[in-house]
Amino acid sequence: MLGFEELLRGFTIALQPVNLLAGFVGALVGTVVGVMPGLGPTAAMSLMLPFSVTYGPTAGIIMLAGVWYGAMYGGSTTSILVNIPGEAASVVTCLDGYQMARNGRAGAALAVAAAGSWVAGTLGILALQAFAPPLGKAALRFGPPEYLALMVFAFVVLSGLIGEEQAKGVLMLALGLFLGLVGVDPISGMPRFTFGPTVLVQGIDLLAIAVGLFGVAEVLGIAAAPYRPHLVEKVRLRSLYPNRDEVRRSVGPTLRGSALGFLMGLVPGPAPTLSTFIAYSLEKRMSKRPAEFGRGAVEGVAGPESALNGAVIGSLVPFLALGIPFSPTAAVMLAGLRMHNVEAGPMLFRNAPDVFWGFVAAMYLGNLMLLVLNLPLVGLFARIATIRPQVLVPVVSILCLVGAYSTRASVFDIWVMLAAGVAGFWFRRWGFPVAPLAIGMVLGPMTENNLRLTMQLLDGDITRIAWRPLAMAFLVAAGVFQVFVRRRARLTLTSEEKA
Amino acid sequence: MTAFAFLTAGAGALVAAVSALTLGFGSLAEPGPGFFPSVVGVVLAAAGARTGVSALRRTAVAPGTPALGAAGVRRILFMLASFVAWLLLLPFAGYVAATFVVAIAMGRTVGLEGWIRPVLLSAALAAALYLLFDVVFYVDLPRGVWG
Repeated sequence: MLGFEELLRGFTIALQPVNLLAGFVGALVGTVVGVMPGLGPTAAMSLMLPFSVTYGPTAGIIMLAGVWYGAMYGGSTTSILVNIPGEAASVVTCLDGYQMARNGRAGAALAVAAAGSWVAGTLGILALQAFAPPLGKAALRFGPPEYLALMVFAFVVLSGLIGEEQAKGVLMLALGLFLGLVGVDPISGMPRFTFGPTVLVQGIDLLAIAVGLFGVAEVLGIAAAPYRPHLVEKVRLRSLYPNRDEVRRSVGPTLRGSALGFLMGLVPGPAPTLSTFIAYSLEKRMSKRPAEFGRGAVEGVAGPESALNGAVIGSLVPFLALGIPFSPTAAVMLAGLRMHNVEAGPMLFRNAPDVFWGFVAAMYLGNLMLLVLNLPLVGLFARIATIRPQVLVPVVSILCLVGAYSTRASVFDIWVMLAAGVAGFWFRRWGFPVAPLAIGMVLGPMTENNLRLTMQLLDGDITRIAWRPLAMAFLVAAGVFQVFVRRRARLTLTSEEKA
Repeated sequence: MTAFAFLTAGAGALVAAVSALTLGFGSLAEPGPGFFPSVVGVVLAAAGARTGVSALRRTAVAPGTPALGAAGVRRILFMLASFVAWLLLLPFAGYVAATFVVAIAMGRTVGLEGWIRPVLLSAALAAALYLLFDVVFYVDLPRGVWG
């Protein structure tokens, strides 16, 4: 049932010292990164790639997933204790988590957040284990038109949900698709946009772009802004236990959040961040005491925190089963797997079952590790959040430089990173979302390949796609989203942000 | 921002034209290497024009963004200069020494007081990098004159 035998084998893989260590290092680094402002999971994962390559694909993907996952845990710690969201996905936790801390319930808020994350993570992996392989099997029957339609759907959702204006999202996406095209065309062997036989023939490295957009741009932003000190709420280990009332009130939100998050994670888009907002408003609406929200309601911590972790796991399903990354973090993981010539997607379960099941088992373990790691060390992590930018900026900058260089041992990549950093700094100020750019870069070659094959298959008549029911379903879903869902989803996002 | 939007619009149009004309558009049933790039170029041009037009009517900076100020601009330029300095120092000084020197400059740029703190921070950072890359992971980074 649910691949129980394979899972057991997965555990023997995950328990190998190398993989266990990779998971631990990933989780630890991820937590630190999540706590630290200025370095998000995407940049951190890009920087970890050279290390993750050393020990094979399984250890590599375990380490990267640990970073991603740890960052989500770490982000909530700072939201609660310092009122600084370490990640965009932790903004909501600030609302009630910090208020709980000010009411002297910091320990309880942290414990509820960690326990909620753990429950959601474990349930999510259970669902992932159940859904990903059959979805992968079903996807074996996908032809190029189905993949093309799915990508169109993803593009519509991505550009529609992130940022304030869809045209800006489309612009970033198209820019990413274009950057992904630079280099040799794999079908005709023709160099494109390389300006002759230059370094550009090898293409532009996604990791250099990611480190620039998500690392250097942040550093420049911090360096430019004036420094403001933060106050930290003190936590004693003794106060970590939530009281009976708080436990009772968190059960429902945790379970609802887990389910909501996982389901949202399956859909392309900024699921982790979005799911926290939706879980928060859901809990507020369902609560008998909505007036407590914003003043330290434990439901306002449990719901969003569970939704966040559910969404992170949920978004791994399309990535592993279809091989399509819908988030910059998944894009970096894909790049990591490719360095080992392992391709995510339907064939993963057949060609590299050890990678998949070892990964699943490692997620169970990593989740537990994070729970154990986070509760006792919470005071230490909180202190990292208050590191002054004067210290943070040099450290993160040097890490970016070394990381961008060491992926391909290329000085050109550092220039690319710097350019992406400066561009990313301005994009942020102008309100252009950068995530679609990174995703576009990865999906560019895939989209082109599927578009070409589709056009050949349909003899140049794109309207014949109407005879492919599944492809049509994706296109209709994209249309429905564009017309009906987009505006409402964005409205809730912005109104909650203001609240 | 308006300038950037219209610039991308122009670049998109250029990409579309170049790909269609020189890379080979192919036909709808047999798309060539220029087919997809021209599609992307057209989308880029349209989205650039759309953002440019709406930017003309509104303020360029996203709401809630703090003003940059002369000091902010100066710090950013100094940071960028430090990045480039690391890059230029790399082949001669090697990554450890380059890190040491550049991290001091960065610390001073963002306002780490005195000389003792930035020097200590840089030394710690350089030592940590050396341990990580040379001793634990064997990632090959340029060592410069130190061999």
